[in-house]
Amino acid sequence: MISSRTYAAQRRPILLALLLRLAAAVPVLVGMVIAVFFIAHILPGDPFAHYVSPTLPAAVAEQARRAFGLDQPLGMQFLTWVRHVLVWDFGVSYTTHQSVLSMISQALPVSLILGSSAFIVQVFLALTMALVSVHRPGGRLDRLLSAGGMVLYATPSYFFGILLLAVFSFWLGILPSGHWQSVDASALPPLVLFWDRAVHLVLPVAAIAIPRAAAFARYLRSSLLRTLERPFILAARSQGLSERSVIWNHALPNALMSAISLGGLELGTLLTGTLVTETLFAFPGMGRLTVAAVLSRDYPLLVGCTIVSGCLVIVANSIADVLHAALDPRVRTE
Amino acid sequence: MTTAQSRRRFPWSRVLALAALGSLIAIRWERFSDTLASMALTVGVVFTGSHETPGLWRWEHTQFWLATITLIVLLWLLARPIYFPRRPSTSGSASMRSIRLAFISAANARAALVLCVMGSVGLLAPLLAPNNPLEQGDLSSNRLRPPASSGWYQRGDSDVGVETADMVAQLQRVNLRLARFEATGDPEHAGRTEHLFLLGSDAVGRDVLSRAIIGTRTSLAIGIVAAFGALLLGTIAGLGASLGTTVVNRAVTWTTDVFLSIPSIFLVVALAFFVGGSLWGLIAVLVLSGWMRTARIVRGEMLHLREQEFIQAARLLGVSRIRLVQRHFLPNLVPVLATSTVLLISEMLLAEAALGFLGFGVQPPLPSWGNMLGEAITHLERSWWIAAAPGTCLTIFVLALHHTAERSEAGTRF
Repeated sequence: MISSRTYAAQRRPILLALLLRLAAAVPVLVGMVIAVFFIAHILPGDPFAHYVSPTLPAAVAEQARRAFGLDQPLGMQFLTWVRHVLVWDFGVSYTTHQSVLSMISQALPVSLILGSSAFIVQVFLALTMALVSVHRPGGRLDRLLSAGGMVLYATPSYFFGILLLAVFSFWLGILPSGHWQSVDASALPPLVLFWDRAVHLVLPVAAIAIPRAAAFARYLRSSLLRTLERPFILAARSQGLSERSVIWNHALPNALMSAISLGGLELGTLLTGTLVTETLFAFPGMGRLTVAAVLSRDYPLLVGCTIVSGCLVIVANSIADVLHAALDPRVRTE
Repeated sequence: MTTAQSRRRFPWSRVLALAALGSLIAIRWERFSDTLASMALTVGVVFTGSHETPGLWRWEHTQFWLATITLIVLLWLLARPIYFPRRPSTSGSASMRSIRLAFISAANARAALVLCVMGSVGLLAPLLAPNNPLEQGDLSSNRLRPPASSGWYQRGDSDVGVETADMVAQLQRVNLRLARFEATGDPEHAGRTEHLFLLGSDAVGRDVLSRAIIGTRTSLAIGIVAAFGALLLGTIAGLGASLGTTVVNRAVTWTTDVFLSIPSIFLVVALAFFVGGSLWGLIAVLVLSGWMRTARIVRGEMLHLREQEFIQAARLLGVSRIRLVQRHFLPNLVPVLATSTVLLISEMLLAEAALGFLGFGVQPPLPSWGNMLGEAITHLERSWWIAAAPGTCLTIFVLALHHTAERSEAGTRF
């Protein structure tokens, strides 16, 4: 593809660009933090509604409320909370009494593994589909893939997941229906544990990746077809390069460039935990943690989850932007 | 061109649609006539005004009024061009004309058919549904029945007794019958009645087909209202960002970025839980989480339009700002917005379904595609059919919307 030598001289500017891009994202991040905190706190609903028994004397309930700082005015609560967040302390969960950070650090790897493997599968599938389609545009295979891709693209991932579950897990009984490892996983030797987890990953990854791959393949296909019409492809062909070389060495790198920013967006949403899929497959990731936090009105946990995922989205987008700029000199704006 | 052709050709599609609606009236004649009776009696009771009648406007029976009125309007709309053929009108405001153009150029027979059929199913839902979507019947016989098997429902005896001349008593009886989705007032049919579960029944013995039909109405109503709300909010924000002062511009752009950076499903779930419960709360949540893209599109398009000669000419002529927006900006935004609205509807439907699936959406007794899918997963091991109907409907509808959006995009960018 693009040799690293050509861009080696620009490595520093790229890092600098990444830092600048991240710095530009800071105000947005601050706004998000404020918005999330106040949305969670202003809207009706009391975390103590089902935490403190209604039969408890009012004084005791008040004491518990004070222990969590919930008797303070909202502004003061916010300031206290910001002071703690600045030293990387998101507080203590109302429901489990664990620190929010430790809960997130347990859930995040699960989501990261699920999201990144889904992303890899998605990109691989999409590339395959797009390359097969482009091989003979308008041919039978291309039309079949386009039509099938359109249907898959319109299928919501939870419905697709339900179908996969019904077929592979309940009807055929060959894949586990949920959780990210077996119940007795802690007793398994490492290699078997790895296999166990991989088997548990198959259905959720398929449920996430296949509909998304269909969408991504549509984009890649049109991008590839557009690239193939450009003069430099004609030049490459007229030099007598093989069709394989034209597509792999000339068309694909150029077509992929515009796909990078889309990929960044996709990666961002995937990394933050695909809430619905995680719920469907009972995966203990960020998505389920967020749902649990919302259900129990666990403000610190909810705010922590949202901020961590928001940061991930912003970082993924920034990396995609900078990567795009690094690979494609035309989009650099100086 | 098309009018000349259609005048000569026999209007098969219209006649088929009319036949379908006519047979609907025939099949559901008792429900249809009960509704007409209910409307007439209500008018009578309101105008004589001598009685205190509680529950005159309960949703349980007014939904039938809406469906019946829609049915009559649909019949009229379909039949009118057959009896009074005329050329399509070219009147209307500039915006309306460009909306019409955008959609006519997007016309794709299959997608349009799907959208029209499912839209009509939504509008006529209470007349179409074979049974009350909330009725559970006898659990031991009705629970998790597979498709095309039968179960039993208890029929009321609301009509048992002598005819009474009292208008209020009659009205109450008709309304009760409607609210129970009961077709018959015949005392012979009171008691246990056999019911065919065409698409099976769910875990508490409710008819999946009826729930899917009523769910279509719920989901489509929420999706469409929320999409238009988001369109309105996004357009206002986009106009503000492009026409307002620098401060307004900055504020709107920043707010858009902030809302975009909160992962959308997290935002929706967090909001839905706190505001949720009511339908309007749910719609508000969907609007609040879906307006950003429209705002960006409008802002981008406005920045482009603002520099065009015709806008500058209008400005130099001293056209007021409001008139500029109304007469020059908005009609030119319509083609772009038409496409994004179609996509917005599909986004809203999917978001509503995801929320319902997680249990934050439409609250349980009322069916929607989303909460039917959510209820399905607990019994997926034994009964796949509960998820099949709503999931397929959702997929087909979204597919049709995407198809339309793609065409209209291609149509407006010639």
